[in-house]
Order: sequence, then C-alpha cells, then structure tokens
Amino acid sequence: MMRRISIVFILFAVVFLSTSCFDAHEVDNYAYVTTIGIDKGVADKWRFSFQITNMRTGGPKEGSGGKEAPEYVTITIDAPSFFHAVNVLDTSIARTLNFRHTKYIVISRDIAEDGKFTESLGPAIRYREIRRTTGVLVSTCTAESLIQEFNPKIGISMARLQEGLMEQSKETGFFPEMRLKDYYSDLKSNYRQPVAILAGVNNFNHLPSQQEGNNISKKELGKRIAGEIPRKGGNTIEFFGTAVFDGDRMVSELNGYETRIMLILRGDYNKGVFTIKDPLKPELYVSVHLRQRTRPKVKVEFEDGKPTIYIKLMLHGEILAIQSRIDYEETGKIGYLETAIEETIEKEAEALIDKAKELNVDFLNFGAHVVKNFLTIQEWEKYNWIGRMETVKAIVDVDVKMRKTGTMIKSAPIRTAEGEEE
Amino acid sequence: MDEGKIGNIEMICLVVNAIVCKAFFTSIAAVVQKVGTAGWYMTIISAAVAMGIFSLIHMMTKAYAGKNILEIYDETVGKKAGRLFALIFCLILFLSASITLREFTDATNVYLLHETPPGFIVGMFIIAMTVVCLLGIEGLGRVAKLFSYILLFNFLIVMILSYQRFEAHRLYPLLGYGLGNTIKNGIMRSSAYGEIILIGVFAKALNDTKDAGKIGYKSLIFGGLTIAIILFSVIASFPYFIAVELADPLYIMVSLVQYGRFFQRVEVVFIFTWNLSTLIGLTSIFYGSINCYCHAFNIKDKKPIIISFAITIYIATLIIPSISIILDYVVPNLRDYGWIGFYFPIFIAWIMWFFFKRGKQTYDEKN
Repeated sequence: MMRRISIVFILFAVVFLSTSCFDAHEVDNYAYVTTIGIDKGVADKWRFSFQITNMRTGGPKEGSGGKEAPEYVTITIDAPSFFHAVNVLDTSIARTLNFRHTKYIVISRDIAEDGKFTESLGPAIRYREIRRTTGVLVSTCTAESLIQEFNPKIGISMARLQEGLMEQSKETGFFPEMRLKDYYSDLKSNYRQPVAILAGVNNFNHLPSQQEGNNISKKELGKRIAGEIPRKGGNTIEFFGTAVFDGDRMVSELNGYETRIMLILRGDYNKGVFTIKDPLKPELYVSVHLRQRTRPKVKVEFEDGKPTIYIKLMLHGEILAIQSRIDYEETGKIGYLETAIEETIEKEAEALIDKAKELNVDFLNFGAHVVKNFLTIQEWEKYNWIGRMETVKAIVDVDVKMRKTGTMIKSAPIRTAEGEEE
Repeated sequence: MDEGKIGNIEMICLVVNAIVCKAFFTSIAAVVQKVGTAGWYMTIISAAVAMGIFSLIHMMTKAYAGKNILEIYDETVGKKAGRLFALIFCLILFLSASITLREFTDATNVYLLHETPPGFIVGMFIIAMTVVCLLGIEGLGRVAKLFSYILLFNFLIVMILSYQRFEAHRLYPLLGYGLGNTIKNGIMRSSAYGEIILIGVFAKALNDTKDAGKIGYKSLIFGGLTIAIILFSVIASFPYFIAVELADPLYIMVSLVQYGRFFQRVEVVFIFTWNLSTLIGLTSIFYGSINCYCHAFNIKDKKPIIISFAITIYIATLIIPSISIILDYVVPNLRDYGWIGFYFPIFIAWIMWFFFKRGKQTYDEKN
C-alpha cells in the first residue's frame, strides 16, 4: 500500500514540477524578426537592419492618428556585432527580438564583395533561433533599403510574400533557392563554392516610356539582374540572378539566363519558360516550358591529372506559344524545335562553364562528381579541388524531348480578305 | 524483491533503446570527426565486434542455464573476482548513464529549455527513472515495448522526411580517412554497443535464459542498423566538415525538413522520440548498474539502493562544469576505452570457463 501511495505522490510531484515555468513565455514577449540585413556601418563597424512583424493583439492594426499601422517595422542600428545590436535593441522595443521566424538574411553587395559575411553575420548561425532554412540574399542596393521595400504591394500577407518569393525559384529558375545551411556549408566546402540569390529593389525607371521609343538600347530580359527588370507596378523587390562567391568573397554575378543554366548543370532546376528564336523563322520566337527530366548524368575522367567532365542534360518540354504558327507539333518538324533548344542550352552551358573556368570558381557543383574518383578524404583534400576549376575540360550534351504541345495539336492558318496566310 | 519476468521482445526493446539513445547526441559528430564519410559503415564494424564479444556471453549463459552473467562470474572466476567484475559493470553502466544524461541535459538546454537550470532537467529525468526502477524490470520492460513501436514509427517518419536533404556526393570519398582507420575506430568504438551486457545482467528476468543469445544478436542487429541509418542520414545531409561542427546533427537534420509552406518544423516529432528513447534507455542502464551493485554486495532489497543511486547519478551528471569538458575528454574517453570496462570481465570469465570449467562441466554431464 505504501508503495502505491509513494508512487502516486511522486507522480503528482512530477506533474507540479514539470510546468516549464523557467521557459514559459507569452507569444507577445517577443518581437519576431522576419528579415535581417547587414551593411557597412557608419557610427560603428556594421549596420544591422531588422524587419519585425507588427503584432497587434486583435482589432484593426491602427497606428497613431487613425492611420493603418504597417504589417512590419524596420529597425536599423550600427553596432560592432550582431548580438550586441540585438541586445541593445531589446532595450528600446520592450520585447525580446526572436529569430525563430526569420525567412531571409540580406547581405549588402559591398559586404559580399569584401568577403565580410563570415565576420559580420556568419557566426550567428551558431544561435539556436536562426534556422538553417533561412534564405540568403545579396542585395544589389543596401540591405537596409531592400528590407524597407521587402513588403507586399499586392494584396498578400508579408509571410506569404516572403515564402512565395523563394518558391518561385522552382517555378522559374531565374534565381537559386539558396538556404543558409547550403551557403554556410559551401563557404567551407571542398566540393563546390557558394552562390546566393541576387535581390534588388526596382524603382521602375528601367521601363522606358513610349516617348523614349527606339532611342533606348535593347537588352534581353533574361540577361538582366535583380533591380533592372523593365517593369512598372507591383512589388518593388525582385529576386533575379545569382551572386557567385569564391570562399566568402563575391566575385561575380550571373544574370537570369545564366542562373537557369547553372541550375540545370547543378541538377537543381525544376521548370521554367524558355523563349528561343524560331528555327525556321528567326525573326519570331517560340516559348516552351522546360523541365529537367532527371539530374544530369555526369562522368569524370582524368587525363594527365586534369579532369574531363562529360555532362548529359536531359530535359523535356511543352510548347507554350509559336509566334510563326509553324506546325512544330508534327513529328516531322518537332526535331527542328528540339535541336534548336538543345543547341541554345549547349551554347549557354559552354559559355557558363568558360565563365566558371575564367573565375576559377566551381559554382556548377562539378566537385560533387569529381570527388567520386577519390577513395580517401586525405587524397581528396590533397588534390584540393577548389582552385582547379580552370583545369577542367567539360563536354556538354543536351537531350531535349518535347512531350506536350499544350491544348493544340495544330495551328490553322489565319484567313484575311486577301486570302489564306502562308 | 520479486521483479517478475519480461518477454523477449520487451528485452530487445530495452537493450536497443539503451544502445541507440546515445546516437541522438554528440556521438555522431565524434564519429564523423574520427572516420569522416565512412562513419555509417564503421558502426556496423563496431556492432560486429560487439556481436563477437556477446557470443562469449551467449556461450556462458548456455553453459550455465538459469543464471545471469553476474552469477556466472562467481562460478567461473570465484566469488571475490566475480564481485570485482560486477562492480566494474556497475561502474561502467553508471558512467554511461550519467554521461548520456548529461549530453541529454545539455542538448535540451540548447534547443528546448534555454532558461531551465540543468539541475532541474536532470532532477526531473531522474525522478522518472527512479519511479520506473521502483516498479522493477517488469514495469520497465512493459513501458519499453509499449513505446518502442511508436518510437520506431516516429524514427522512420523523420528519416523518410529528411530524405529530401540527402546528397549522394556527401558520402564520398567512400573510405573516409582510410579503411585501416575505419576498422581501428570501429573496433575501439565497439563500446557504443557495450550496453549489450544488460542482457547478461537481466538474463534471469527472461522466461528462459537460453533465449539470451538470440535476443542479444537481434538487439545488436537492430541497434546497429538504427545507428547506421542515423549516421548515413547525417552524413548524406551534411558534408563531413560541417557534421563535425554540430552539437546535435540529428536534431538539426530534422529541423531542415521542409515540404512547402505548411509542412515544416517537424523536429517536435523528433523531440518526442529523443526524450522517450533516452528515458527508456537510460533507465535500463541505470537499473542494470543497480543490479550489478546489489549482486556485488549481496543486497536483496534494491529500493534503498535505487534512491541512493538516484542521488549519486544526479551529482555525477552535474559535476562536470561545462559541455566542452564533456566533448573533449569525457565522451571520447568513454567511447574509446569503454570497451575495457564492458568487455574485459566477459573475456576473462570466458577464458576461465573455456579452459578450466568447461571440461569439468562436460565430465559432470557425462557422469
């Protein structure tokens, strides 16, 4: 009997002692940071910007004077280190900054080019609240101004915008889906070197007015980078292109087209729209939706200690639009289209590989294939792949299969008063 | 104290939890540091070595049916040496439990309960262990079996979900820091499976001590596979130079699971597995240690000993001032040299039995 009583007593004691009172916090004890930015400081070494969700506990989010309060607040501070900045800010916002819901880390371009990320914000990865799934951006403008513009102009919530933007990498391929865990591990990697998403603020001055007309030099849309897209309206922030790093120093940038080819070569490409010149009417265009069928098949051979990499890229596509209305759906003609796409991708891939060789930076993930030729870590580390990209000989073979033709199987000619068009 | 009997599956659940719970903490990073990308098969070498050692226990439990390993020591090496061997087992199991409990406490402090004092976490955990120990091996076995199915399900779910982060190239170079180094570390770190001696210690709780053999082999196969899967997943998720940096690679691996906007932050599922498996595993190790102590001093009533052991393990767990000392000295030494405590008594007892007692046993059986 005593045994039972003691057990019941102990269990009651456990119930009362296990109330987590030490770590109990109310949700509104915290100010949730959604984006962190880092620039060079003026009053101190670094300038940190924090975008914080404005959490009002019910009722309309009204600010002073009856104005609607914004969904977020941006706070900027100059400080010698990240956690020092956080601690000091806590004194002014009456809440503790919390990073459990941080979606992006924004590095300003000058910090990236100076290779100062590992000094400024890199060590924060140790902190338990910063999730390694956080996205890494390099801003073409200051991180502070990017964060100020990082809010939805179209009627969606802030969280939806931030998560939705990252998802567009898989839908378009115009920027890589780069998370902190990959960026951080690539900084230390001997397989490949890091890349980050290129993000910018578009002030809409790249869209020429109708009056400016033909005086403006034309630049292909995909050959631009973030902040340069000729558009007007909608969100001012855009992700477009890739920042390429050698170690922690940004050494180059890739435009939208180059980014897609990089993703295809890395095997990270999902799908996107390719617009190529019509093979039979080069003044017009054909748009196709291309998907990567499987990850690239890569074979590495060594000749005189130099690697030759054979890459086979396999894609399949769906015809979206044929401006010329030529019946590429027909089995006799579809080959023209497939060959044209294959040639375009092959040419772009070779140009990108040349760029990587010139930079001597492996942002194409070739190291992941080269390593398979080494048996031990000692041999691999002695070989020191990072820094040998310039010695690579790469042979790219592209295989495109057009699987779908959309909702049409044929284009009938347009008829005018003058007769049937060719 | 009548402890009752437990079934074979219950014993397997107890032992597998005792073996596997260590893999939830810093041991994974330590393995990767030692053998690099070869960690996932190094542990299979360790399991094979432990299986070889366990076969000695198996031979002796077959020869001395109805006796546990502690009683077999008394028979093979004599009462005094048997008592010493029982104390060696007691000490190594006690150390194993207190070190793993400290790792658990530090991990809980880092990831979950940041402001809770370590003493509170350890205290709560020890209260739970003590309650289960007071209920005896039967209660422990039942709890282990009941939860092990759920734990296995959770474990498989988080492993499958983590698959999206696996990259095959991270398993290369396949031989890690060299085959010789992998085999050497595989043998030395076989103490990771040292808790297999619990089958010998708890042998009398089985319905038939002759089942100890198959239970032991199954436990080692299952425990080895589980640890190999954990190591494989971690190595495939993080490059070897990053895996060595992480205090708790498995937890971080699970926290990376993200399928769209809604299905993410599933580490809470893992925390459940982590806590419960550690509770079952450590309780069985702790109880094994108490059994060895009671046998050494011929103590029949374990209750007062359970309470005093609980207080002692509380102190032993908290006595180390920082996690750095645990990571730099305590855990590596226990893993590298723990085999001496786990296997040395078995080896000596087996030699004594094989060369001096076996012949006599055969002669007695024939006549």
